[in-house]
Amino acid sequence: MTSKRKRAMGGANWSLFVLLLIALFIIINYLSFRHFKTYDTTFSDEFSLSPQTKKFLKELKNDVEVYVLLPIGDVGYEKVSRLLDSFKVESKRIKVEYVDPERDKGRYEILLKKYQVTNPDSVVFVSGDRSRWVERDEFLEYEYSMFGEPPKMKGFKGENSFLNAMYDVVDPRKPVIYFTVGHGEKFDFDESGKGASFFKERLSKEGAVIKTLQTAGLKKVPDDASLVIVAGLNIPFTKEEEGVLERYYEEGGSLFLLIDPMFKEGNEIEFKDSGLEDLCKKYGLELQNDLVVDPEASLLEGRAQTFYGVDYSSHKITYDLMKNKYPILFTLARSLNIVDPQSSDFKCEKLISTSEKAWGETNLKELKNVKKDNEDYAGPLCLASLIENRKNEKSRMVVIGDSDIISDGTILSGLGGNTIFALNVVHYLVKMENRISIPPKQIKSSSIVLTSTQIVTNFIVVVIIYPLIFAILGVWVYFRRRR
Amino acid sequence: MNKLLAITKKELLHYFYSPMAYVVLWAFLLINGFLFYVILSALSKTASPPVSPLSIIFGGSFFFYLLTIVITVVVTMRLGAEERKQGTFETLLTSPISDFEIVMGKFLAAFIFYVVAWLFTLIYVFIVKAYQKDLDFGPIISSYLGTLLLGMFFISIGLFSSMISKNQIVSAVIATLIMTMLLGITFLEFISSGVTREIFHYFDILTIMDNFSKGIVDSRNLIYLLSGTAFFIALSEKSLEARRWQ
Amino acid sequence: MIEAISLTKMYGTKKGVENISFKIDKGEIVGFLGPNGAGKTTTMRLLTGFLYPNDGDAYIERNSIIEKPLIARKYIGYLSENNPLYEDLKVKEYLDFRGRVKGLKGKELKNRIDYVVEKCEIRDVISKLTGSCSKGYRQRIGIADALINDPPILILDEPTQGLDPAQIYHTRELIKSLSVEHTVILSTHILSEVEAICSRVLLIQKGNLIFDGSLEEMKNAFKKNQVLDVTFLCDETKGREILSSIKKIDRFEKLQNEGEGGSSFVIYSLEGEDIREEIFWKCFEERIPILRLNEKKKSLEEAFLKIISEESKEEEIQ
Repeated sequence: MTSKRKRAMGGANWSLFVLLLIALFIIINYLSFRHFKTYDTTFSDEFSLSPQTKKFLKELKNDVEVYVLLPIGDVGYEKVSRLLDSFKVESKRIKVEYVDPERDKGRYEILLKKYQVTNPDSVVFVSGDRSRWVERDEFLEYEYSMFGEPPKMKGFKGENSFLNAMYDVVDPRKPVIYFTVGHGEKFDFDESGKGASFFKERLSKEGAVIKTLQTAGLKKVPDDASLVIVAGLNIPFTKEEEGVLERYYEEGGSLFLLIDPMFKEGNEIEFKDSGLEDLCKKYGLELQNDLVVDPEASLLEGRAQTFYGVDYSSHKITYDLMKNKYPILFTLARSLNIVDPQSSDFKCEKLISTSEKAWGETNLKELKNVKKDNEDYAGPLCLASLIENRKNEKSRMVVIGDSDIISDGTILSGLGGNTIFALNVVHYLVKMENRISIPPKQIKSSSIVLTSTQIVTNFIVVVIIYPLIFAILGVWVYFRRRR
Repeated sequence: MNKLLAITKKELLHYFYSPMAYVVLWAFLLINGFLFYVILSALSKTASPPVSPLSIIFGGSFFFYLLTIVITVVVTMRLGAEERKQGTFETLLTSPISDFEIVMGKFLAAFIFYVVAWLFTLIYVFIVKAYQKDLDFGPIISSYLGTLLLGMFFISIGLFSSMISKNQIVSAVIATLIMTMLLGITFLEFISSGVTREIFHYFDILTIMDNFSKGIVDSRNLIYLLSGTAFFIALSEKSLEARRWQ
Repeated sequence: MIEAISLTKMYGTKKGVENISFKIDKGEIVGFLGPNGAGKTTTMRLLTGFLYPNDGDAYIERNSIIEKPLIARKYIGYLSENNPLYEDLKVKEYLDFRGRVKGLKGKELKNRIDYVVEKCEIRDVISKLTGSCSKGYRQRIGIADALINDPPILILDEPTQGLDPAQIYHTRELIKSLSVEHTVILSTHILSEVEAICSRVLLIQKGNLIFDGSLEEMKNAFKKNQVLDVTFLCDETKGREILSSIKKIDRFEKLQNEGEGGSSFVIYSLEGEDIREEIFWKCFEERIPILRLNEKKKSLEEAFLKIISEESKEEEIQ
């Protein structure tokens, strides 16, 4: 009889019921612990992963173990664990272990030795027999104040550095990048890396092998080249050299041209050609002999030749920069003009342009007092362009009318957009688009500034009057009820 | 559903006909208002920490937990204990209404009171919005969501305590103890490491509220708070049935 | 219709009620009679589902109070012993709440509230807090609550307790008028109340149901026969011989001797006869000493006497 059963259930076994309930609670929460999702409600997607990180994690074929060797309470601890949590949401292959250097000394020492970690506060990524560690300075940005206060955390670039570390351990492909030499290039890409050392260091860190290429008398670009970069030349290319690059490109090679406006030796009031004009023109791009001036986007008053790119295309190279409003700094740049290509196989696409107020100054004689006139090229001007080859998808080319974007000086004075942009271009050209960099997340600070009158007003309204309304209401209700 | 709402209505009448509700609202808004004022003036100084003033009100300070405990305990402590003391359980439990409806009706009433109290804090949002044009509403919405979910959880704890207690004081003590223990998981998390730590981390209400206040809605947080609520509601319902067998 | 089948309720190891069975038909007014602490309230709580029995079951209109509690409880209007009310609600708010809890709503609820307010004569206090009403009004509010969803069965636990004589009179009249349309079960420890209202009595003592019948039957039961407990200083055969010779004895049974020698018997007389004198003379004739002769009071009578004495005590107090 049911009443008998019910009696047995209800009377004696309330402890059994509690046990069952606890078991159910544990099962539900265990499942929730293992399978979870997070939603970012901030309008700026502060806590969301970028599409390429998500794509990488979704397509992950091998397990990646992550060891967080940070003390609990470290400035970056929370950010790191939150980021790794969102990695876990995307892929079951990510396994995270937190090892506190203080409390788990034994395990910590073992891991340090095993993965040859030399920096104490690091995050180690391991897949198969490959490992790579990321030290704290690679995922945190600090702001150092002058007055001896402890540094404040300014930005978090963990997503990018962790993603790169994971690429290194799951996909250790090393592209070979050749820098042309022999044309009076501004930068040395041999041992010293003079002039562009930050950029060179980043490329090596991303796993690239960097070589130089003497183009004089060269018949053919070496077969191991993933990319040829021409940056900051002063002596024009010869027809033969131009032909070598052209063949290389059309046979499926990648070219990255950073060509400044060039001036005749001696009298620096006249432009000269770079020797690559015909090559560019063939694909629909005209290298214009001018100096771009953009007063609207200039960094300093009266120095309008140094300015930010204003209009970014939504191409994946610039997409994240555009979305995060990350500025790219140009200085002494030339403009590019998109024209009809010689063959419809090629297509030119604008990546970055100036503002409408900018113009391309063609008169070098009056640089002391520049102004826009009829002979100048009118804005908006194209500064960087991408060339597609419809016949051969492997052929890739990006042209920028300025080589200073990768120089140490610009990178130091800019806000990090230049490096990211240049690296994105390189990753695109070496066909490793999924490694395109993500700008660091800025840590937002509040921007409330109140006058003392406003503060006092707030105090009176919020602390005194507002609660008092409820006290009065209470007294009123009380007496009304009693009546 | 009608019967459930009848219970809710009766409990709400109790709340708003007694001066206690207004004392609670007054104290709640006084403390929160003061907190808000302190934060506002601190943030107006230069070299302010990079935080949103509202995230401190929602789980960012000790006062948030104090207020949440106090308000949930006060609104729940009489729900069962008073019925028992007055003997009104006898008329209630012999009426054609299920134990579940009784428990849910009372739960809903306490929750409505809690929601009303927090709704009055929307004034702070409007004030901040007036001074900060680019205010991101995402974290504010998730903060309120988290606060309401935590409230549900704590109310279910208070309700259960009240159902098993002979008087309101005992109920308040039991509820406060359970809530403090749950908050104490933060401490356990702090002193542990490895997998244990991860488990404690999962149940850590401070972390959970931190997530909500920053704009992160995590399914784990939702499920913990909701399943916790369901757990104590089920216990409350069972305790009513157990009364009949005793 | 109510049917209780061997209801047993233990409070821990303490017995509440034991093995109580009865059946009440539609239209009856039944009084639960018994001294204080006899188990009347427990029985009522078992019938209304406030408590569940350790054994047995109760059926209200064929619905088990354990298995189908919601349906069963719908048929019952219950006035509990101390008639607890929500003191900080107004009478109309209280009745509105109770009506809704019992599933009424809208127009129907309004009509029923109007009806019970008239019926129980509580119009005067409708806007007062229940906590500030007098004892008499409180009792009527409780009855109004029991009536609100027009249940076929009313279970009233000590409905007149603590009222003054005028209030008692009014309440009894009210109950009588309700009994036209409802089956009424009320509990009381006052015999006269049963006499005044009930058609049937269930007498409960120490957790057991010891009598179930009409009031007349109960009164007659006390007069029926005499039960004696005697010890003769002789052997058993002699004792049986003596007792057999007395015509007014209905039957007798041998009892275990309790170490005092002689043989003991329990003797039941024929209806309405006193046989003590005759036993004395018979023994005198036979020269057999009577060591002991006790009149044994039956539990029913004991209960009855207890009720009478409590009643007289209460009257003295008043």
